Amino acid sequence: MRLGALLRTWLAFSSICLPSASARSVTGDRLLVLVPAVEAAIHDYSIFLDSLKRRGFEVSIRDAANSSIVLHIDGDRLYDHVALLAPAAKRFGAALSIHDFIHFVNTGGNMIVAASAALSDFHRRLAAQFGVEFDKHGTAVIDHSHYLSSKVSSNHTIVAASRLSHIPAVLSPPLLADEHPTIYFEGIAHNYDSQIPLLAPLLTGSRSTYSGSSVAVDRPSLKSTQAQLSGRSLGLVSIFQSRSNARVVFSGSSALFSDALVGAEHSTNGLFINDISQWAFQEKSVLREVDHRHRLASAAPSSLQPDHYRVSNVINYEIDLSVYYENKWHPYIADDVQFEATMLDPYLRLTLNRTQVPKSATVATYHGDIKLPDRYGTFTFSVNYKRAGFSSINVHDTVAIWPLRHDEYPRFLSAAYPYYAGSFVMVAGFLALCAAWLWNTGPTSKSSKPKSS
Amino acid sequence: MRMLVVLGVLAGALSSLVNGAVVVTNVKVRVMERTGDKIFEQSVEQPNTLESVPKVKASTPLVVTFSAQDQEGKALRLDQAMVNLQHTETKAELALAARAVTEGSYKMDITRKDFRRHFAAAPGQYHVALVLGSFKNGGAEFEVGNIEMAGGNKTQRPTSVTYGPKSEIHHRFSEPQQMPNIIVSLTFTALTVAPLVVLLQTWTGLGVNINGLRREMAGSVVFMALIAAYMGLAVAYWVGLKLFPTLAYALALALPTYLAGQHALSKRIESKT
Repeated sequence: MRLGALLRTWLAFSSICLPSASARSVTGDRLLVLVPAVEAAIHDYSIFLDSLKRRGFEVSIRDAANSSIVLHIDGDRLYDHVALLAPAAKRFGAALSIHDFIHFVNTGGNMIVAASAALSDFHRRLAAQFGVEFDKHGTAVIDHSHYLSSKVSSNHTIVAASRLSHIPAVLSPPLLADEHPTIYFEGIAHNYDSQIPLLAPLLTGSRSTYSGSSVAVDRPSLKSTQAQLSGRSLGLVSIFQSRSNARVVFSGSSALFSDALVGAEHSTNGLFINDISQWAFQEKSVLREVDHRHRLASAAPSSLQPDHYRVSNVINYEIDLSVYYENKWHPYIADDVQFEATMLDPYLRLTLNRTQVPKSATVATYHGDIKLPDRYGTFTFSVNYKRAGFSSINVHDTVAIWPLRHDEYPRFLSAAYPYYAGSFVMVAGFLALCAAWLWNTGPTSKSSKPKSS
Repeated sequence: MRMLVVLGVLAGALSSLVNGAVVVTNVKVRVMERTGDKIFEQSVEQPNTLESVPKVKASTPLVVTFSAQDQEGKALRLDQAMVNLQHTETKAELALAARAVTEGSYKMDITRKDFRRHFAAAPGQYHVALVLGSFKNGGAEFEVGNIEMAGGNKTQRPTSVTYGPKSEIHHRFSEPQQMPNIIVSLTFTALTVAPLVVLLQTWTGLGVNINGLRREMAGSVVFMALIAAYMGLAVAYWVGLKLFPTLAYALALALPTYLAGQHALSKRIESKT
């Protein structure tokens, strides 16, 4: 039994460490972890923290109330990532405000925000800025059908969640392929605003999961037909990617990251927190545009980009995209990269084709031969690529499309033959008149002989 | 007329809960007019579900009644008594709480107001299930069946942004201008050329000739050639030559044309006198 427990712990440890041993973040390695008490946290979250160190992060673990904590100095971020594992903390640092954390995200910093049933108002207000609304005080996520039934007393509040959203950019293939993952969660539920495209639920409750009071006497009697926060609408872990491509993960459970739940029976917590932390700290699913160019389709590939085009010109547009994972850049393979030509409204929106990608390449080139509209004006050529879990790419060029020159219109029309003939007839007539005037000689003999009397 | 849809399930046979110690009995689905006339009534016994799909209109709320017992038959006080409705197409879920009527007996009934709030904008077929639970006895789920929520209008959520490929837009180019038949053009071309032919014929008849060419060949031929070159330059400009090169060529031709013209015309005057 003891050997079995040790084996399970080792498997959980290896699932979180080995696949990610070489992953490095694109945005930096300075990670700040804020916890209630450093010594206890190092013990409670040892598997998670050790995995972060193995992945190359400079992990700074601090008490949430440590007055020396600052996020910026002279406008520069001191850290690249922050993990808030102190859900009950009412304040951070000497005077860090919600605005400071939002500014941190706006300047490209990434965060993991972990909550619990003892969530402070600071966390509630912080999460609300991102469209995440945690449930009321005194509530917890409960599931009477799927819960951790072990010697650890859970009171049905350590639920075994399995409803993962299919977001391949965040979740690794082993987790996606698992039909019944078991992710132990002990904490508080949240409501997410499904109208915000930047926010996506990653782990939600199953049909029997709901948010309620874990103490029977505190349970208020519900009015019939009152909608319950349960099932798909009950958020457990949600992800947020800002317009500046900074990433934030909201987890209703800080215990999700703890050794106790990572090492629990049948637990896939290790794999799950590995995936969400890799995503949050920009170790994977980071897209970048390496280069883009456009030219006339009839011009040589090495020709310079023209200053302008004419209406109905056929152009060739190319864009090179890469994606970062496993510590290096790879060509980004997709079939939905779209080109847009816009002047107030989009005139064209076409899906680009992917050029054959060589094995050693780090970029994938997407191209298209596009006939420009027969409207002149100032257009914007853009590739605006936003997909759940991936960094967004927004590339645009302002291009002038000129009308045709006087001699670029269709010419030598059959309807104009009479007019062409008229001009040539006039030229021929003029030359004939000149020739007649220059070379004509008068009539001879009869008319020139004087009449004899 | 407001119709109350009372969904009560009377179970003849007791159905046991899937797992744990929660036993669900007396599950009944009923649709009634407000006057009390029954439109639809059906009992559900595990493992079966509703045999038909009752249609619930906008003015006919849904009521589910059931009883919960433990395995010893004692009435159970549930900590979780929910009726889960999942849209079969969109998979959107809604869980509505059932209230305890008496010990162990529960009822969920949707009023017209609640129906308008939850279902009017999302009509369609819903799968109904009872999701029950107790801290002491564990959890259980009971499939009731499908019902049709009708009468509302599907409303589009206001301008929700979704990340994904957008629909393609192909520009519709202007149709090329319709040209008249080429026979018509050729006919008018012939009519345009005809006067020149008539002119030349008339001149021939009048005795106009170019006999003087032999006498003054060099100078006048050069002059004529240079005049023809100016005509050719005009044609070249029309075909494709740009303005400034055209003017440059015209300037280059100007002096020779002037000198040739001086020579040819003076010779002509001399020959006349």
